[in-house]
Amino acid sequence: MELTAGKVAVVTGAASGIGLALAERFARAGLDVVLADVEQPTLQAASEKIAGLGVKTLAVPTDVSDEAAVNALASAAIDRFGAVHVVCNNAGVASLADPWFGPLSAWKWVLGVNLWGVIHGIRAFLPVLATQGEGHIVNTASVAGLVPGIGPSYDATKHAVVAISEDLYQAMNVAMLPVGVSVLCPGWVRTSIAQADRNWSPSLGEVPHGRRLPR
Amino acid sequence: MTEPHVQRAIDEGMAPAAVADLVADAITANRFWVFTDPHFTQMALDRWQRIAGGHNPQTDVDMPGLPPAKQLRAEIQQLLAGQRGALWLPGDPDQAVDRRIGSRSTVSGDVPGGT
Repeated sequence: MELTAGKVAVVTGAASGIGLALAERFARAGLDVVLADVEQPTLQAASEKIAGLGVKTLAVPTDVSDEAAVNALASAAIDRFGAVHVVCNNAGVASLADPWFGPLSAWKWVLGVNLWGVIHGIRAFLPVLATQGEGHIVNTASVAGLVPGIGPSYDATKHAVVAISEDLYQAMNVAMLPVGVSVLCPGWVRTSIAQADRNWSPSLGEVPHGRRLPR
Repeated sequence: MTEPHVQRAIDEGMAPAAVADLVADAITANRFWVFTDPHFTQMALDRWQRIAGGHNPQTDVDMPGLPPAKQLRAEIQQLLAGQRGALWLPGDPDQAVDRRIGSRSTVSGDVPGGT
């Protein structure tokens, strides 16, 4: 699919890191951009930065682990722009808590954002892309989706995102739906994911402290 | 312990803008896989060769960007020894002691994930 002016991209985790870079890349190609993130002040700043490139933007505070929030994101995007062409399910976190002796809440947080966030994103936007006759979904996994070693909760979610993306790719081809699928498996990237605890969900209780082992 | 190593790897990692360029290219070309580092894909190949051969998971695998796995293992074991095996220290020190006792077979024997 060509990335051209007049099209619309939705990016989760768009306030920083790879998400912000994606938003900027799409804007430079002329796409209008819907930026979603749970980190609200940073999200607003990111939206203003992208708007400064001469495209329309919409900032939607979104906790991607929440199905209703992601559905609301899709509705907001359609209400504002009338179409969505690129969806980047990019939001991701990593926990420093010990996976085996630490609190279960750390697992729930990582699975909620990294795995359920992708599932919610696909399910919320796929009907839009399929019915309008053009679209592309990009799911952000990691090299940890191919080789375990970062940490069990992170590795598990990223392996799942790779598998889900392959399944989605197959399904789109079998059903002959005009939706492209890509999975991003980056290695080390200069982001603030090591400080992801800043976006810990209060609904899960206190931020777990401790350290995790790498393997 | 490993966090400074990870942070350094991140700090020395690829620029997000370069990753975004690869994603944009993949969308335009309708390409499924977007990789940024061939060293990791080689690791994946090596892993699957072991899987296909029915071999146990390999330990002490060097990860690109991090110190040698043997160095990391030594650092972690030194840390665990200093904490008498407590992998996770909650706020209440007594609770930590209980936890160490309750998981003694693990903390006195194996390093989780290692051999």
